[in-house]
Amino acid sequence: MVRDLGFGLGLRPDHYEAILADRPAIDFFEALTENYLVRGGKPLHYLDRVRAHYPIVLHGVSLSIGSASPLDKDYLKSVRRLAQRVEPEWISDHLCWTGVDGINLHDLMPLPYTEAALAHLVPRVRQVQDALGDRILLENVSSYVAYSSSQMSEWEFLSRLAETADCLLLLDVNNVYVNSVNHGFDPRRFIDGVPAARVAQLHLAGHQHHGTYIVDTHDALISDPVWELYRYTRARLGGVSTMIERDANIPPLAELVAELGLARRLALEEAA
Amino acid sequence: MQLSELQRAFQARLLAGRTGIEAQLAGAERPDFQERVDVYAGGYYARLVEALAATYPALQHAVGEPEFERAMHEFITAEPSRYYSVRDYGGRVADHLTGGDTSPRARVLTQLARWEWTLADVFDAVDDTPVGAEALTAIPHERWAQVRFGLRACVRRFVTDTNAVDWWRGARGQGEAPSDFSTQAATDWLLWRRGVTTVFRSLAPDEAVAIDAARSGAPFALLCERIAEQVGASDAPLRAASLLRGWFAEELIATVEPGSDTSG
Repeated sequence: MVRDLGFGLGLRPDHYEAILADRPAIDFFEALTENYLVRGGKPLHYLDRVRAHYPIVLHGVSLSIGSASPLDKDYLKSVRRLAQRVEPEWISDHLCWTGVDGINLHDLMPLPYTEAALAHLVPRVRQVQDALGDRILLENVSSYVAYSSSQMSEWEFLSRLAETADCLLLLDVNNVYVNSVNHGFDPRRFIDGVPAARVAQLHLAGHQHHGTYIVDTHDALISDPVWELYRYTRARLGGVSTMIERDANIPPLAELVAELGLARRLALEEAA
Repeated sequence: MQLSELQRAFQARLLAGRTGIEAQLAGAERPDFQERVDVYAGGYYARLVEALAATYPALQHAVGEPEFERAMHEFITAEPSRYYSVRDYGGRVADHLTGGDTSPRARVLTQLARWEWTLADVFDAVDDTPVGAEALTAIPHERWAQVRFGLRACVRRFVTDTNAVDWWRGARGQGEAPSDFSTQAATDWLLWRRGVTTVFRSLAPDEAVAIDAARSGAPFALLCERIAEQVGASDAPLRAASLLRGWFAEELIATVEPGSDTSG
């Protein structure tokens, strides 16, 4: 089991100066891997400085673990180099594909939940873990469509992959809720269905409701149903590192720290 | 359907609007089915346009949002991303902007795009440590002619023959935006980083040739010859000394390599 880091935030350039000046009571930061796969300059300058004061976890968006195309070995080497520099607590990415034939759609595309997809994924996860020298965390993604070829639930797919490939999970509570609305299931069944011992991190985020479906936008406050589901998740999983993702309409750091305070409070209540 | 076929079909829907993936998706009877598929298709362009706007804010400002979005849409269609970081996407925007248009406006916009890409290139260029002028004290007099000054990895040269940089400054609120797109006499520019801040300035003709000579690895004697061609032999030594002092003070130099001993 990986350690519970507490309550963290996404590391965003808008907040670099405030973090270094105020050293807010945030337990860890999650840095977007690709933002720091650069040669030098400001991004790495600030990452190093934040790292000097806070634990860091790396969170990628371009691993494309589910792509039908071969894994990008140069990408893996770059991530490993970054990890050697930053010494993150762990490295995560998404259970999705982001493109085939060398193209990157820069989106987290859904996978069909099939035996064939599992058979494709398991050796790839192992290959990535060998290349990075550690177990990775894979995150459940939001989706707006489902494949008619799917043979199992999303949580069964996620769980079987984690158990077979021996990887860890980053459970995005917002994404579970988004998918429960988009695909019509009880989100608690998802939470109940994942192997608790493999969940190493939780994500919380805001979304936009479009009437009959929800889009995962990371641009708003966390909604009440997601807080409710978070409470349920903590009751089942106990202490798991939790962070809030905010990628658009980014407010001042203090507002996110206040929102993170709510996560702390709910977790304390649940533990009491 | 194989995973590879499924993903190619979905990708083709995003890149080219080609239908086909829909037959593989559940819920086609839902009234919001196409809307949901379009979350991916629309999101693909929206995300890349947003990334390009972050790289090319002055270009967007100069042409206005509708034209920028249209031009970037065309670019994205012509050149899908093949980069794992979206920051690296868009280096060839300038080549796609004007479609053979040779008007002053097209020329300004092309230079503005190249200028912004160069700034982005400087922003996260390889880190190295600038050396101070004290590095010169270690050089024996007889070796001066052979000394080579290595410029830092973040140093870039740029030449404009339009008011593109004025457009850039205007977009940044650093002066009034120009009222026209115009060509003008060529100006040499130097761009680099001081600390983590990207800076630039124009270059006098003799400094431009000296910088270019230094970038190509020329020894100090050759730098002086280049400067002499511009200012005359009598003024060249003083001018070279003055330029060097400035380069050290402005954190442009990464290495000072004494040449081999040629004194015999």
